[in-house]
Amino acid sequence: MLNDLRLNLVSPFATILSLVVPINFLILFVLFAIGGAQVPVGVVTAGNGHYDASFVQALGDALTFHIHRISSLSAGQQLIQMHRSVATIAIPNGFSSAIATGQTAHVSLTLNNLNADFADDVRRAMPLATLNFYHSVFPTALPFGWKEVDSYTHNVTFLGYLAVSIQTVALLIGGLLFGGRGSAREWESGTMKELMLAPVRPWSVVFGKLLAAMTNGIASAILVLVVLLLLGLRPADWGQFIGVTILTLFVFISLGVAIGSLAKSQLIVTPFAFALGLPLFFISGAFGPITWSTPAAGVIARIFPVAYANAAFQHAVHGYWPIDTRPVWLWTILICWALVALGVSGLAYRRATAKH
Amino acid sequence: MQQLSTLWAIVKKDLATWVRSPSAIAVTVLPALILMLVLILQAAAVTGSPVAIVNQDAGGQAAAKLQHIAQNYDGFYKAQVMSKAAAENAYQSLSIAGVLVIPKGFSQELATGQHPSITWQVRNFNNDTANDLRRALPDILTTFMNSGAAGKSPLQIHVQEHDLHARDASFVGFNMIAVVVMLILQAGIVNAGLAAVREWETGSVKELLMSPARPLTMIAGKVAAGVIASDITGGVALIAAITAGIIAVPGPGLALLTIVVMTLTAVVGSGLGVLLGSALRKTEAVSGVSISLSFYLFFLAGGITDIAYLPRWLQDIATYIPNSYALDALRGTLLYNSSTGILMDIGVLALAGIVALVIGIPVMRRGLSH
Repeated sequence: MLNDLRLNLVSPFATILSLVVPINFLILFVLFAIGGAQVPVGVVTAGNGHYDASFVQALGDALTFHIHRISSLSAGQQLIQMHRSVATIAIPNGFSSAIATGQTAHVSLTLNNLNADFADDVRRAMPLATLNFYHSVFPTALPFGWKEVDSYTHNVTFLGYLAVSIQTVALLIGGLLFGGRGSAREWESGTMKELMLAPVRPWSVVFGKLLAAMTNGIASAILVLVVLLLLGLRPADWGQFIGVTILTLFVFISLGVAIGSLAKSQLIVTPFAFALGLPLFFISGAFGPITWSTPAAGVIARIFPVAYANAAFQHAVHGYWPIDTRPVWLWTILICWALVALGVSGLAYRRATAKH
Repeated sequence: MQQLSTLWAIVKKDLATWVRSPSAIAVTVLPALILMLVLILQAAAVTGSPVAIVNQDAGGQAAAKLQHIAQNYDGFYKAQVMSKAAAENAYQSLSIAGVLVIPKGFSQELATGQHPSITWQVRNFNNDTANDLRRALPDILTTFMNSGAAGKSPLQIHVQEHDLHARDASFVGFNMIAVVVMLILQAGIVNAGLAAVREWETGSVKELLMSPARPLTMIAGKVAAGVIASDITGGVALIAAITAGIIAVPGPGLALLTIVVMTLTAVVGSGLGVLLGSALRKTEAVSGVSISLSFYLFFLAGGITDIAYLPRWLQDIATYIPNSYALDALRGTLLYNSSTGILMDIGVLALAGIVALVIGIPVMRRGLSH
């Protein structure tokens, strides 16, 4: 263990790189989350009637748009070309008088329909804005009402939800890198022979590697936690947060040691960590419960511990369980994974040394 | 002439090493290919959540119409009609994200002007999924009112939509282009970087220095090998996407422009790779930095979204990220059948390639001289 930690000091560049990889992930996905929150649109109003202002207000309240007020359609076109906006909404001259007299008012929507998902968000926000508008200015005109019943009183932001999911993937990738690199390094530098000849049991070597990687992993996890705290995400249940951090790290560090022993090359460990981490992140409830996903993605997600760790983190921070697995089963699955991963790391080490 | 044959020898040697090295290929293609697979796996569910419809007004015509519209609404992943109890169970077990309840007597109350109320139960785990559901109901209700099933529609606002592209690109196709660009860039950075660092690690840099090859020829050879490897990996991914029907086959002119853009992106990646390899001179460091760098470039150029959605300060940064222009150009040629603005994209990519080489070449030269 101490040898592995000392080696980290000898190659500080690689160590710093490994420590900041989880932070990198957090930063990159935070960029993605702040990007996806609102749709930038240009709004041009040709008239200045009472209802024009009300409709612009309704557009602003449609849970979708980040509005740039612009002076003309060509200014809107320019914004779209410069990638500053994805649509231009033009409220024509005479809009207010048409609404007041019960005539049809035509609102123009010029849409940069980049893909169906983005375009549909804009298309679906227009009816919401229209109903918001009628609800505010002609509340009795609509023939029926509707009420939304939310499950939770507090709305968690997309960034808040995603940042917690990223904590899991950061531990996954960090764990695989720390465990895998520490193990593969012995083979690359040829020091594995010396370890094999030393009067120590194989399990001692594996445990030493695990403990060294855990030390690094915890340091990295603390860095990620600091970023989460800076984002305003404070765990409500610290015990659960720490518990699931240590369990998740242990699972992936153990698997990392196994991969490092079998691959015997840090060059393979690095892409493997990313290749495993990214897909598991996406299918394991990063954006919402796995039960809302496709059946195939849901089945795959249930095999791995990431979905359970993610749910436990969401509960520790936001106070709800976004998974249909009972907490007692969830913890059992995570603990079983930790034991299996430990066993796999020991077996992989023995297999690798036996072949040597 | 002799320099040309030397250059070709270096290209052949680096490519042969790449082909014979499964780990190098894995570093190059694995992360992006897996990301591609995930996009396909998730595609069906990404645009909507599963919901339940509870129609308590069984015999009502208006209720039946509303149920039909909600059931066939394309913004839901699945919309199943259920009893109140079944919907509640499904909601509690997280099988569904929302429950639309059409109350008993809805049609009758609507016909007699009693202003009935519909309930929309929303599992608001986060704003992203919840807002999709919040936008869905008004869309359904507007269609319902415009159908005439609730009498004359009071809605006098008509939205006239003008789309800039003839058809919407698919979510998977749109993101596939981002993955292909990342793949090309990553292949360039990693392969050229590792090819450079290999010379120091194996000690063959001495032999290179003693050979009659000029430093510039050696560097050009390494960059060219990186470009070929990148074009091969990017091309294979693109052909796979076309074969899977995710991306349509472009016309000959647009196909040619696509190859030009891919190659220029590969030049940028390979230039950066040579720079990294010459500066770091260790495989471990190069592989770690290059993968991180590729991901940063991927996200700073918009990643799986578009730069229009990023905050202003990030948009400003994206202006200086070369793959923003590669994305713009490839989405134009492969998704929108358009070459508008491609000359500027090609110009910027060419400039970025030159800049990467102008910085990379002296660093490698200095490395060689040491």
